[in-house]
Amino acid sequence: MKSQSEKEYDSRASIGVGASLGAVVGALLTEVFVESSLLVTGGSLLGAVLGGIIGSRIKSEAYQYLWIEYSKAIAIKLFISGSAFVGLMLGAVYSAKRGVAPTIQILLMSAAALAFLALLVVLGQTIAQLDDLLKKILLESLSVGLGLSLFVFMILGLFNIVYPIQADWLLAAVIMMGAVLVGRVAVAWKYR
Amino acid sequence: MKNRLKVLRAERNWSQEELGKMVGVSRQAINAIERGKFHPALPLAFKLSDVFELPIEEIFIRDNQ
Repeated sequence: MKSQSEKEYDSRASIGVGASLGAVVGALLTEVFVESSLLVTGGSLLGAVLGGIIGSRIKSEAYQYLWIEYSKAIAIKLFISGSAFVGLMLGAVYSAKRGVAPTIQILLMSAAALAFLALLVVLGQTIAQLDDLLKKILLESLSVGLGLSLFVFMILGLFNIVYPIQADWLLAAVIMMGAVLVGRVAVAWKYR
Repeated sequence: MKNRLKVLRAERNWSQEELGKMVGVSRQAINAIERGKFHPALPLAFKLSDVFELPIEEIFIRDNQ
């Protein structure tokens, strides 16, 4: 049984995680689709508010279906490589949208690609450390994510015939990440 | 396949996390095995057998038995 202070802490943590994720997604989406810095700030704030509201509705017990306990060393490596990738990717998108010198744009995009490669290597090391169940959950999540992404791309492709959609590769990456996350929740729920 | 993992663990007053650490798997894995959602591979079954000091067939039971 959790104490009142533990419940309050869980609730604050949920709101904090939701608001942070919402702010990043809001900023990323508005940065990709609009030109105005004001709208990007607005998108980030709106994302933070929506993320906070969603976070406040999620009970902490729900995290056990998503949470995988990694060793501290792996968690640090994941955090550093993940942050480097997200930071460089945002920097690359920002420089492209703001018309920074092409050499700097290419350097930033190459650095983001290298950071993603490093993230993949760390993910590979992480998978090697997992037990059989967690490997199964991860692989099944990827399978569901791939299937779901194909479905979304097929639908977008069909719509594209009737009504051309303005989409880029970054959106495809975001769709695939979202699809894998949906798969992760569904598979973790199956083995709960 | 059924198993007596939950009963055996409770008899020894071990938490899922403690048992997981003893056999080198996550708490989630122990939970999923206890609930019959995941069947362990032989290496893990042997480790559980060692930890409980019981033969595998006394921990894992075939459905028709």
